[in-house]
Amino acid sequence: MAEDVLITFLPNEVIELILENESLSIKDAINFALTCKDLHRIVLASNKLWRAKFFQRWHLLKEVYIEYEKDCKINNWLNEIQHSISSRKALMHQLSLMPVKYYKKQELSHSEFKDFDPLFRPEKGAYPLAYHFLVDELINIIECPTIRCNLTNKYYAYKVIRYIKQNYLMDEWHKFIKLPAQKQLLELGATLVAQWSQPEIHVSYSYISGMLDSIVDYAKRVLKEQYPSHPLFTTSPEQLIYWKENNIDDNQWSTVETKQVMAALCEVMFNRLGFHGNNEMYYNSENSLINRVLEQKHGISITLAIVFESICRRMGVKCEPITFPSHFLLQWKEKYTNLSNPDEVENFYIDVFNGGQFLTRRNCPRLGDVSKCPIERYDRQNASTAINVVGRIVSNLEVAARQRTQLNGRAARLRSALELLHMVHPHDTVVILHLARFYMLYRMDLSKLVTVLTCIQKESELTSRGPANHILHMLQGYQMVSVTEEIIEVKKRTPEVKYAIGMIMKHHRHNYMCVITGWDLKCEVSPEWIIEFLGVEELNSGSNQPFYSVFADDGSSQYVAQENLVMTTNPGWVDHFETGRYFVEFHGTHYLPNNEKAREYPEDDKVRQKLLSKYL
Amino acid sequence: MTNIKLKSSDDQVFDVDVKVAQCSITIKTMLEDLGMPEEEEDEPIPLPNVSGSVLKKVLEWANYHKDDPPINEDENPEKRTDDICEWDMEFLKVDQGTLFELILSANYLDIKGLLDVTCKTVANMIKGKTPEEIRKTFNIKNDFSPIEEDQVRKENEWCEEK
Repeated sequence: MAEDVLITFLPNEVIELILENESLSIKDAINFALTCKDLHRIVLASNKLWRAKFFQRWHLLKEVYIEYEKDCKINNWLNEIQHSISSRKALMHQLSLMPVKYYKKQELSHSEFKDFDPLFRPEKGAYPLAYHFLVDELINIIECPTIRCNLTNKYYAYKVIRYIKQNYLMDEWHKFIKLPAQKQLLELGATLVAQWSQPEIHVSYSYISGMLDSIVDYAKRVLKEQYPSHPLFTTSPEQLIYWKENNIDDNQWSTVETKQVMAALCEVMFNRLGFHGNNEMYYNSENSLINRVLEQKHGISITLAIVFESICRRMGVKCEPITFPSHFLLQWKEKYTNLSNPDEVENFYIDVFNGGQFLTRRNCPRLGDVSKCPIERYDRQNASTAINVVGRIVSNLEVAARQRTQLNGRAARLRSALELLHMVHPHDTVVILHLARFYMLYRMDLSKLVTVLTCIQKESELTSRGPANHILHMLQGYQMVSVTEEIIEVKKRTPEVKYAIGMIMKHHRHNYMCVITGWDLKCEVSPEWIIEFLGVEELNSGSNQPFYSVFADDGSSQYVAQENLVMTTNPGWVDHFETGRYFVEFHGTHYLPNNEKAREYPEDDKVRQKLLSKYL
Repeated sequence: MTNIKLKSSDDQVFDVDVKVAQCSITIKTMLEDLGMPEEEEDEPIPLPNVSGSVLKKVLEWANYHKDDPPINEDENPEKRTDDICEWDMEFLKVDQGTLFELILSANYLDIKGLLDVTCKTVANMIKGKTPEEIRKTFNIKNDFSPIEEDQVRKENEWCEEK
């Protein structure tokens, strides 16, 4: 009897259940549907099945859809899957065209990404959620493990994700500055900065907010041990949500109760969780990024202050960010509203950089390099707006990006910081000047800056008209180098050239590891440079020997004489931001050049194989 | 230990430990609605959709798994497909007809664990196969005309990700 029962006898919901199994791909489910008419009808019509398949395939998009479905229910998940796949295919196609076009350029202008616009911008015909599909796909490429992944794809994926995310965040920023002050939360602004500066990872607002909430829960537990009858514990959930989502204009408790909350929070943040100011690496960008601060529990005053303020607010306590030159404090007052005499309310500053000490005029230590106590000099500071606070974080990021302590990816970080600064202060001509210099150095498109400058020049109310005019003069005559005009010259080897592209070497004197990215038959830089930087006079063979361009594992790019390079017995991964521009794969013993590099140095492949087989 | 009686569609009666029988949410609900049988001579519970041979199999499975922790759906609703344990693998070495009957019974009796493991077994038979291979595996009759088949294949080409 059992033999008579066929799979087609199973009820629809069981067919769905079978196909929902995670081990089956979208294609498996479609193949199953193609077997006969009945199954085709059942399978294609199952919205539940395709929803499950969608999130099995792209689980990170769940958050996006939860948000999206609040306004707009998805009735056809199969259609959603089709859009997701076709967006990704179009992306991969565009990505594959990049190496040929941009082989010779390090930083690409926004105008050079215009072919991506129709893929993610709804106003250019993209599917409404296509932006999220592309981000998801690009992050998958970027997160793929280094061994045996396509480094060139990864390299361009980073550039594209930076472009499309920053495009998107620009809109988010304009929404943020139009919000009423009550809705401009510090942590929201800080999240935008973190998202802008780390386009290659997911930093969602719910992730940041969730981490803040868990500190709130911890502080509440501590408060409960000490003051079990504190009114915070009988506050309605709606009220708590309101504080989480809105700036409040006053403390919600009596002075004593407010101080109890703050004491519990200080105990949790600074003693139990160990949040502290990062003195050793003050100028590291990570200290300005709220996700990193929450994860690593150290930061600079401004980011720690944002953490402190957002948690206080969630517990009904108001404090205000106050900007001092070279320091940043939070101010707390006993009362903010309906004051008959503002001088009489108790107030103090909270120094989050130094373990949350409460400072008044009397006990303020001398802070950092400020010769006088900042409170003494600037006691009448007004609270900063969230927009100002963001501006301040971004300035810190620029300073951090200019440091030469971390060379790897420095140019990209500096550009990100400058462009962010330009977004926050669009009429600041100093920022425009920095950005223009950067663009010129990297032979990029200046036309957008010229448009902004021309606007400033016409705006009679802006004091920056004069400087704008000067910069416009400076930019005259500059022309962006269009890449299509550049032809790759083929390098012919001579017997003097010992090593080959992609080989991993050691510098025989400085001992760093590096990978060869190019060579010249003899030293090809100007005489001044030879004497000043290369120390050619100390070389046995002087400048008349092959010289190699290399990526060093400290993230720098170097130009080295052949006699200073030796093959290494233990080659390894060279941590350099630009490797994917020239190499497609890391093979343990060497890097495999991508098509463009191989075309430039066609004879190197054989030489490298020969040398490696002899040596390793 | 209380026992109850279950009667299959072909009138076979099984004397079963209540705990084993309650793996089936359907039976559990019935017992709750009807009250527990007190006397030995109580009527057996009829299960008109399950044949004796399949019910025997189902009870064998339920007996082995009666002490499993309950499946918590809230915890991780997306991930309920842990690998099939070795005992189940042996247990499910049956012909396809029996496998589908087990699925139908597990569905009717509402035994989540058995339904999951049998569905997963079928899923593994589908995985990575072309439509033609799937037809062969399950003896599905292709009722598309060549023109129709060509058309549906084309309509669904988008799922080729490479």
